Amino acid sequence: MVDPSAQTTHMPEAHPAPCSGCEAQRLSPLACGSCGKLSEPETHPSPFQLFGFAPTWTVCPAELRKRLMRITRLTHPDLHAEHDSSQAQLAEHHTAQLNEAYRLLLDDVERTEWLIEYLGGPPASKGVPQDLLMEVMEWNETLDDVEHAGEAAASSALATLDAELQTRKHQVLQGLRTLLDPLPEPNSPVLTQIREQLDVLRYLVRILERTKALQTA
Amino acid sequence: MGYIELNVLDHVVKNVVLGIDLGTTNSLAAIWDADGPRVLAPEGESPIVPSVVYVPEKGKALVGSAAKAQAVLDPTHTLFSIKRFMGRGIGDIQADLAMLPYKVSETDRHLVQFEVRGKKITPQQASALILQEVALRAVNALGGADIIQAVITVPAYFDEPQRQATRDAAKLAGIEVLRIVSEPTAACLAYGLDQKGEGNIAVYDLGGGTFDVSILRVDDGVFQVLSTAGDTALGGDDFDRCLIRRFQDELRAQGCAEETLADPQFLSAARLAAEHAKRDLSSDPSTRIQLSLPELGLDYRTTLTRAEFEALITPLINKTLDHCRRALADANLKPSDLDEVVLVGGSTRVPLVRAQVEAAFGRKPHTELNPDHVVALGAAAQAQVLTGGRRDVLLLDVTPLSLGLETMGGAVAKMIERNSTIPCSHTEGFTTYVDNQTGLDLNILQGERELAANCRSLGQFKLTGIPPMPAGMAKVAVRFHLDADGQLTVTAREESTGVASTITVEPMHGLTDAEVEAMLHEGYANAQADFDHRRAVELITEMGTMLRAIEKNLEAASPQLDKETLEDLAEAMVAAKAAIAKGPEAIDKAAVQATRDSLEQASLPLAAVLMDSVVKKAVSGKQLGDL
Repeated sequence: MVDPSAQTTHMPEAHPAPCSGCEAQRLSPLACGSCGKLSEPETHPSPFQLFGFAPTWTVCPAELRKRLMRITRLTHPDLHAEHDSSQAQLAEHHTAQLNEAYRLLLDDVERTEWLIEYLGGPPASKGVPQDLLMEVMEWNETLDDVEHAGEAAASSALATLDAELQTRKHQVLQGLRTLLDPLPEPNSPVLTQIREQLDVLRYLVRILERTKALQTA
Repeated sequence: MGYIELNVLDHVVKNVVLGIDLGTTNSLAAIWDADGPRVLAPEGESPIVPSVVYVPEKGKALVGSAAKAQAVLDPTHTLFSIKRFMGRGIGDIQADLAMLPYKVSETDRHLVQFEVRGKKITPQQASALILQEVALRAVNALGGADIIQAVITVPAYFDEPQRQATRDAAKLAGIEVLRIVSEPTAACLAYGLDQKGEGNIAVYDLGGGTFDVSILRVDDGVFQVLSTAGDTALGGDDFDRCLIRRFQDELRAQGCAEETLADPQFLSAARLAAEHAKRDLSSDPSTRIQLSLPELGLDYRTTLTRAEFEALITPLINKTLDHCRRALADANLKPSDLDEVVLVGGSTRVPLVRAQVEAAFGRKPHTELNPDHVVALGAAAQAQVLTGGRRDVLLLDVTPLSLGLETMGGAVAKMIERNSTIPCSHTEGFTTYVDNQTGLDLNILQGERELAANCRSLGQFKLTGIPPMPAGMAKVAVRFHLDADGQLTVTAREESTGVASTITVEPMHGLTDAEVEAMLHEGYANAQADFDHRRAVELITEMGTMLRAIEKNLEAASPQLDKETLEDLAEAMVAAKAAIAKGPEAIDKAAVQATRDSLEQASLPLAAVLMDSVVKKAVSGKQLGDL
């Protein structure tokens, strides 16, 4: 789901306030690596902040994963199983929050959605984007045909469609990167354009899921 | 468990933390303490407890090898492959039913239960007996304990109801479960792959009744399961079935009656013969098979070559390789990305399995540890972590199947995707479908299919008290939380009023707390006396088997034995027969153990002669009792 050409960049650091217990610098607001203290839960933390990063559209999966492991080593419930139940519950909560944030950050659609909201952009439009309507209908028709004909895995029509959709997806992702890296100002008019592109991306991803399901069936 | 050390001056409650591999074919326990990791067994005995339960006409159930010995003599009262039925309904196990020599029915909660001698026994109860046996033997080896805690392993592919059934079984056995851990993850720990820095690992686990393959990633001691695939109904038992079918085909061609071929006694004997043949063919190029059942007028002899056996099982191995490819694809990896391959389960001793796995992953698999011990040792390692003993290892498990909610029109809204790392949560907004709707029915589903009807329902509940408002206006936030132990809690909350409703999913296939409670009070065997009694019964059964083997071979071998040996043997046989005649009710375990041990000792020279004689081939690697 992540643009592979994005793997060489470094993600911007943004470390939280020092630990309230021992004053040490922390990587994540969830826990202190120095004294091991788990902090009280926040209701809607930024998924980037949980990993000690500033919001950015371009993410580096390897870097994120490394961070996930470092922070999980502090928060995982297994490592707090011996402590009292409030600590164990915090561990459970924090680790779940971290895992959810990790999933979101690696998902192009969900990460972009979060950034649009963060920057005060427009909400998702209802229904299929106008300029995509005809194409979506056409794609779905091809997929219905393939499904009814059986032998989907061997279908050349499916392979052609899959390749076309992949190319489109790549183009949309490139476009989003141009618009979102560096991040635009909050409430910038460009967010409307970003929203349109994201709605297109969402449809492409959905149809690609269907092609993948047919290919592996 | 009735095993309190009587040090009245300074009695400290002794707590042991075991790793238990509750397998389809065999079960065993291990520990990782100050003396390091090791499997546990009473002195001089095997750590492996066959996962078999025998229900006698009266008295306590037999568990383990004694029960397994009964499989031939009295198959309709012997339960095996119990794990296949854990947390399942009859509809899930159609394929298995035909091969079973005992009756299976379904409870009103759609739970499979066995019917033996008019008694209804659930798989949880049968598994509890096995767990109890395993735990007691382990505790015996450790010199006693008051509290037994355990990490119990299940196949990575086990779904929520199956994991829940395993928890229920432990509860019935009086064991506190610290964690249910997936078997492949445990295997990596046993191999110490946490010391490897970073890399990708494939664990290929072909046990008796289940197959799973998991792809794991390790970074500085943190394990994460990236993906799992597998089949809860594919294993070494199926290799046996291929052989049984081959015996049946050949016998049918020889004019044997269908009735005989379906006879429970034939099926059990054929199963044992198949197991032996499979084992022999792991080291030998061919094996002889003999099935003598005079009661059925059957005397079948055949020779099987390794090549024939391999041809029979190739389709099954290919199935496992398909799962391997799927697991790799799910983890977004190629075979060349793998750094380690681990083999688990007794069936990986089959040379063709090893060769095919090596070819599929392009890497020589680890086989240093006993594939039957690997999982229990890993579970013990995880038990160490959970009790604060080690901090250098962390297992990150994933949920094997997607979880979601049924939406309007019978579709599924996925809340937690398959292979998500646990613990995890996800919150999604839902709304009402009709005007003034005051309640919302939530059907919690598990599975990958797009229609609710094709997924398994884990439970249903209703959020009530939504204030009347136009359709689509209510905002209901539904939160799924899957904890580190894989237990799912679903909370629904109407945001304008704060009305909320929560359930912790106790799947319909599982047992309610009240049911578990009731079973606990049915009170089978919770004391040392029961354990001793069962052991005495087991020893007596074993002596019977030994006596039959001795009597069968004595005449032929006696010219090669000296007078003294023959006298000792005769004396030991008389003592053994006397013990058997008295029965387990009348004598204590220690006395039976002593009688059995002298019989074994006295029969050693006979066994040696047999080993050296023409039957060398047939008995290699076996004890006399196996003949």
